[in-house]
Amino acid sequence: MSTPIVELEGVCRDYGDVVITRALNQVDLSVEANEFTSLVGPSGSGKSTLLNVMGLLDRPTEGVVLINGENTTELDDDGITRVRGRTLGFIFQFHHLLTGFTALENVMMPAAVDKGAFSEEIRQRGADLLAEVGLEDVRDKDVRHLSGGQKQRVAIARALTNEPDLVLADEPTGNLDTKAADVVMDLMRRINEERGTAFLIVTHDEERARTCKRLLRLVDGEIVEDRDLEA
Amino acid sequence: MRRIEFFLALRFLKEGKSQTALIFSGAAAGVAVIVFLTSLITGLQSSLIEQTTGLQAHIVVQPEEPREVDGIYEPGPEEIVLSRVEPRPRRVEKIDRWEPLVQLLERDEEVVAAAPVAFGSAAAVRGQLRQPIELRGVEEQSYAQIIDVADRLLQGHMRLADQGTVIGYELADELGVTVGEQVRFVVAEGESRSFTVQGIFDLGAGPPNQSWAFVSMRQAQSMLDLEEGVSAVQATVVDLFDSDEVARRLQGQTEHDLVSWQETSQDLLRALRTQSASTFLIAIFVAIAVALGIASVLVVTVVQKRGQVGVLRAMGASMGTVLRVFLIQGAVVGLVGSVFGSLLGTALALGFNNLVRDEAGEVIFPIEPSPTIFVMACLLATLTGLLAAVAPARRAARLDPADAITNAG
Repeated sequence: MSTPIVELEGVCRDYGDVVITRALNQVDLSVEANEFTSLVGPSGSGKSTLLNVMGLLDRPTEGVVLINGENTTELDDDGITRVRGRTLGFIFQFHHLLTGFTALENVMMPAAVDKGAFSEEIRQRGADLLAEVGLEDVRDKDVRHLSGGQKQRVAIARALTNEPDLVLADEPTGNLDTKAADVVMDLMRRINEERGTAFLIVTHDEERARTCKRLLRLVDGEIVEDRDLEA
Repeated sequence: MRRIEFFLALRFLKEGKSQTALIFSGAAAGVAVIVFLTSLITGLQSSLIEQTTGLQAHIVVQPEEPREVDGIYEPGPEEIVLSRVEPRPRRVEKIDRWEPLVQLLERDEEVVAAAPVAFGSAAAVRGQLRQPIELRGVEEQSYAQIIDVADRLLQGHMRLADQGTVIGYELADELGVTVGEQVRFVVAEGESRSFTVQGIFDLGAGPPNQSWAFVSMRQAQSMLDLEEGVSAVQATVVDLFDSDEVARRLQGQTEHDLVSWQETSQDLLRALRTQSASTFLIAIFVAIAVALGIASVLVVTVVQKRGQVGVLRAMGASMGTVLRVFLIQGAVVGLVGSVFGSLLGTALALGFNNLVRDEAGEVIFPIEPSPTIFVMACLLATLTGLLAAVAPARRAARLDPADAITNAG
């Protein structure tokens, strides 16, 4: 059995100083290579918190987060940054592209941040990724001039730049119309099938969630359903 | 520093056009004030120093001061001593053996030239007119390296041989003489000689123009009863601000007193130091104002860019990378602002030169912005920008990535 990409053991996340709110409660979860998983749950159930903890953007109050078997609890900021940058990719609901930068620059950015500078190899990789998401024509356009669907496809390409093992997508279709949302979902599925990159997609859309290979349901900070949809 | 950090810093500055323009303008205005003010004060001080040292030697070797005689008898606690101090008989103070002194001074590598001078009080007489003067006997060639009188002649030549004299233009006006005419000099002891005015000078200051009369060394020695001696030996040094140090160094090698221009112009130097301190304080306060301006705009930038900072952190940018991106922005603002500010300050200085003139239309004192001021202003502004960016940069680096992304919308 292969090592899970992300493994959570007894993870809790509390917020507040005086009045403590528990956003995650004793979560045990593992995500392995090639998975295409959806995470559903009502608003305020802790989906984004779980994604942030899995993505090492937030630290758990209790419990352990293992990335490819490495315990990240004891890592300092540089260690966390290194693991996050090379293992994980992110897609956000509001794309969060760097405005004032071109589509290609946005896609190249994770690799440039990792290597310290842009290079021809990084440029080629960015161009290939943009071609893969069907945006080779707009690569030199400022991202402010792209449509919502195009921006989210740029965000997908950016998430893949460092060839992560797992892409964490926080409601990537939540801000798109149905057609654009379908394009984005199909794109992520194709990348999962062709590249073997695992995806964990937070969504409110039960119908889209059921098109994934695995479904997780989170209620009040606890995983109440973990279903293999291929079975 | 990594290239990607420069790339991001410059792009963030380019992205926030209006804020960047505002922050650059603030830095440039501050640097312009510093460059203009420093150039102005430096020009003024140079002019004052030039006026002061242009009329006097950097170092003057004077006849030894008579030493106080120690008390011959120290009275006990119960004793009273009646004493009477006999005044010393007046004598001509002079340096008899001055040639070795000239050699001693000229051997020092810091000394450009040394020249003997014989001077004393006299009166210039022409008809019924009588003006008090200072008779100055010099050797034309050697004295030219102390004060170049020939260069400041309004009329005639610096020719002192054959009973020639060169006098100040105000003295010439008072006496009503011009080049080629005769004037008689009378010393206190009553000796009187006639001289032909060979030249009329303007040394740029009242007393020399009103009372100085140059004659040959021989004539002055003879009239002032100096025999073969001189009143002083004057010297010019390479760096006039080293005069004090050179005088102190050579003092041990002669019994005569070496006095630097700094020693005789302490009031001026004190005033210049006070002025420099005031300028420095103004520069510091301007730098603080610029720093606060840069810091406040960068703080706003951090708030505006928090989502992008969060995403960069999610992509793998370390806290150090984010910190340096904002520090670079501060330094770039300081550097670019200082370049524009230096140009603006120079333009102001040149404008001042052209607009502010005396009644005769002459520049009151020339302001020459030096490359040193540019370099110092650039360094100061870059450092100020860098320091001003520390707090915003730390704030950006410490942003919680999850919180930054979530709350950026």
